[in-house]
Amino acid sequence: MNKGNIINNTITRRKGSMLQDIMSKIKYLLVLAFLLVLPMLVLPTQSIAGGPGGNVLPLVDQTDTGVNRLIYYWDTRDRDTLFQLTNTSTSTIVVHVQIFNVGSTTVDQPFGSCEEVNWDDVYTKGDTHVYDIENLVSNCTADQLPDAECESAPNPDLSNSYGFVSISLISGDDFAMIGLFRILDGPGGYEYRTNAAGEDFFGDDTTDFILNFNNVDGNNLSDVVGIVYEETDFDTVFAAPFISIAFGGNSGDPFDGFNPQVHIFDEFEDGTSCSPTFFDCSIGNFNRGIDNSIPNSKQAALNNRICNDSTLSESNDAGWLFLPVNRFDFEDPEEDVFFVGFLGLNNGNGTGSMDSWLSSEDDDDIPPTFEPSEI
Amino acid sequence: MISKLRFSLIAVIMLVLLGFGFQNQAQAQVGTDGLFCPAVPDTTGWLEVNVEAAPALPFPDFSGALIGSVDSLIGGPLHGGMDWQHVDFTSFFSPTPTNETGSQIVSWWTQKDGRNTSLQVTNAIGNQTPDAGTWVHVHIFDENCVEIRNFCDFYTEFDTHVYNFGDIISNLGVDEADANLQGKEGFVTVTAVDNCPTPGQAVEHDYLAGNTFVKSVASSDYMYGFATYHREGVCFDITTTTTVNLVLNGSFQNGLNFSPWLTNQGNASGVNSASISDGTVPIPAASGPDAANPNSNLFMGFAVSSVVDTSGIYGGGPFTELARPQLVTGLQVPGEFQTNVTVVTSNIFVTDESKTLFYDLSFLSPEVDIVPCENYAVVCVIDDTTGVANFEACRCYNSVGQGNAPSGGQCTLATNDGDTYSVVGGGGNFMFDGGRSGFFQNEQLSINNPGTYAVQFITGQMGDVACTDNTVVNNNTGAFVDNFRVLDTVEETLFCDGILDGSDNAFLDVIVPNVFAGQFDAQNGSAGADVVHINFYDEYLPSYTPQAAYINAVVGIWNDVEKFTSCGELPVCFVRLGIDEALILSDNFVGPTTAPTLGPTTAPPTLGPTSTPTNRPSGGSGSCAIAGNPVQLGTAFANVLIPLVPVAFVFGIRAMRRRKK
Repeated sequence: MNKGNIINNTITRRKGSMLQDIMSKIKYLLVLAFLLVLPMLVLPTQSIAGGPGGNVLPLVDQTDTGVNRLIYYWDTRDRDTLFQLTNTSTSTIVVHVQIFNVGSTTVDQPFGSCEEVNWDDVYTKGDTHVYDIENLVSNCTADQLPDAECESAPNPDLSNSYGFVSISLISGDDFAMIGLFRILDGPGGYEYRTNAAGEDFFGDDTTDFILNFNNVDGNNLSDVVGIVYEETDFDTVFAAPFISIAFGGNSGDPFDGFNPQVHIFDEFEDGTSCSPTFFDCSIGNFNRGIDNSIPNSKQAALNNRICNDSTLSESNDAGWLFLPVNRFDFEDPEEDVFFVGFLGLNNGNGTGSMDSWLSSEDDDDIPPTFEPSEI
Repeated sequence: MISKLRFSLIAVIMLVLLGFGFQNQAQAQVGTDGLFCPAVPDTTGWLEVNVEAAPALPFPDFSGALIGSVDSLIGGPLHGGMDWQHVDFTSFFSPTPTNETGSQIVSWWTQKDGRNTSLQVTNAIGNQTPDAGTWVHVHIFDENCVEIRNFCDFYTEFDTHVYNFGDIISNLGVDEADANLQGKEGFVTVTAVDNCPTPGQAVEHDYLAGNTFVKSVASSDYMYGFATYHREGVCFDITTTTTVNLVLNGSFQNGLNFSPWLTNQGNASGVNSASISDGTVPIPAASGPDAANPNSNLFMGFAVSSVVDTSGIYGGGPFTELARPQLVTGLQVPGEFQTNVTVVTSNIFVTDESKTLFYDLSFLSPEVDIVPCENYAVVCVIDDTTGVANFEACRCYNSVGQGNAPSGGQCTLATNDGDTYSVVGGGGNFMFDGGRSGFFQNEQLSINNPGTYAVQFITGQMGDVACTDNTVVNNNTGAFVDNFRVLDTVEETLFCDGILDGSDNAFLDVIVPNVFAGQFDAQNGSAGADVVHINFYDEYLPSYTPQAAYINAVVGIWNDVEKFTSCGELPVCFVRLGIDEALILSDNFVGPTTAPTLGPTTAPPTLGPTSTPTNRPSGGSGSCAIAGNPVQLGTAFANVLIPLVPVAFVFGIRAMRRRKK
């Protein structure tokens, strides 16, 4: 790989295609039409191999448009978390805020009970509000709204813990909720900030995930967050240690398409297969590390890396993790199970960043026949 | 005194009304002081940018916006974060473009003000394709939307590489020239192409995964990190059904030269109203694809039988086996003949089912005869399926309504109007003293079986003595014909082979939202901010290149007590600005000097603007930005109403989900 070219192109303007123009003008109608056939076309294809029952596993990876449910990660282990919700509609919405605490334990569940606190909140048109996870103040309280559905936020002890927040629409305009969260690491002096994730109503059926990592500015710690939950009602979700998602198979060709294995690749395209891994709402299985080279930011001592046997060379600058969904477990076979992932990278000393997992675009319905030229 | 008080009262009322009237208007021009919303003090809220077309400027195929801020909430060094702004809609093909791989990566880059950008690109081939290395073409644009660097690179399967914009080494190991990038910023695209540099056409290769990291090392140590935008390559086969006319140039839309009609004998051509003494207007095409051609209303066919150019009996045109002395029968005794026959034949066409020929005809009569000569016009469908032609169907027209067409059937009486016509066409200027019949419209001849056919229109004169002696001149006889059509449907498939050439079935996904929404929050009362807009359109041929494009950004801001303020508008290709007086451009932000306090308080909200720290910036980035005008109240209303549009369209979804439960 030692060839390169620098080119200068002289190109003439080409007008946009008719389809592009039409798509731009009637896209909402297309959305509506697509949504009408969504239950027939999409949902049946989303069953994951190995997943019993009729459940589906929609990806929660819509971070670009308004949604009816937002999922945030929070962390207070020497960190502060702020999460923001905005109502972009022109009418009032009522939302159900649920906070799940992975770090909470009981005698029966020493590895995490995933306790929940929740309340309803109200947002008028164009309203926005920032919650501090350790000093919860409802928007109703902050804005002194008189709405009968207004509640004060609870005051749980969420210190030195971590988990996720779900905010679901109870009433009001659809697809008007957007959100982001900021996790400020005290010792590290860095910030994780990214848009909260919502359910993609187009029904993304991709089951492969791509997690880029690199050593830009000395990144050597990670937070590989996997959130899995059941939707028990349109405005309520449920998470527990026994509701989980598993990645990677045990056997066969790593890329055979039927039982692919988790892989980690370095910058030289050297891939190492890794054992199956899973995520649930329990300590150690909610926020993992990438491998021995890039362990978890807060639980380096825990043996909870995606690739426990992998140690990349110190001279390696970049790589990526391939995470194919294998199966999921759930409590109620009648309920849908959802998954969202966030990946944080930091150097433990001043810089870091977080974003959602990347899913692999699935082109099975329109396979490309183009063969690239040999180099 | 009363009068003065009254005047004062009126003045006060006027001032109050003016205050209300302008409360939603722009505080200052967008871009002033490097801010989207100058003179607005909001610390928590969201920036709303409505996308409109910028007059006389190219509209983008991609429009994206980032929002990030820098702060020191934890009391130490600065820290920051950034992500793409929310939009009302992305695309039908790639609804989550910042969270899924694609064929093109789009990102902001900056080497300005002590920042350094790193872009990681992965050829994240999954388990779908066994061999999927790909060329990519990297295009780097500056803040003026001018391309300042491009280079080729190659990624093998599972490959990943980080471009450090401070010292760009390609994945191929080439040290790319980057000196002209330093101290600048703009946007970058990484596009999968078939080969590089040529042909350099974009391809569908939806496995590129990108992440951008912008590190600040100037005043403090912080970093923005975010996944890039990923545009999907849209590539599929289209099968379309179109209606065609098997009779080519059936409405003579090709003009005076009526090819592919062929004059086999006699005199004929295309004519228009200028060719005819009374300006007779051709009949507009009633239906079929020819009707879409405006020329179909301007021209028609013309045939004439004249003693000027003797052409003899009907020779059958290309179907010589059909030649005969009497084409129209029943008017002459055996041995007599017809003469000066003009024959015009269409293209030969094939149909796989029974069809109907439609046409319009106007008969041009000879002078009203003392001794009637039953001169005629004929239209025939010739069946040449077996190679031995025969008349499938014919219809004849004359002034007496007598005689029979060659396929049978009595001739139609074509009553003339008695006027005199002069027609320039068919190679001469022909007089018709007997006048003209009206147009017989939508005349029909049946084609009963699949096969090979042609259409002929014919004129002829009686050749018997009574019509050709010295006392009776066998006058010109002709016909105007128009709108021949045998309609058929054909299926055409437009294939996509993976090359994205911008056609209807092969292009990079178009991502241009109607509204951007960027949330912000300055817990300490002030912060630095970077709001970046990127716009470009796709130029596909001969090789793929992004080109500068513009939106007219109509900017407003909502604060945490739901107060909306319009901020103005400006045309934008690339721009980086701060948000408002509280979240100034990050270049000018030095951080708080007091200990921060996290989170909201229960204090009553403050309505209206309040005084805030003012770190007056020296200006923003984005030479593409053209200063806009203060926004009007109408724009403010639009800002409120436009978000209703997507909500209205997708309103049923929630109910659908509930019913599922």
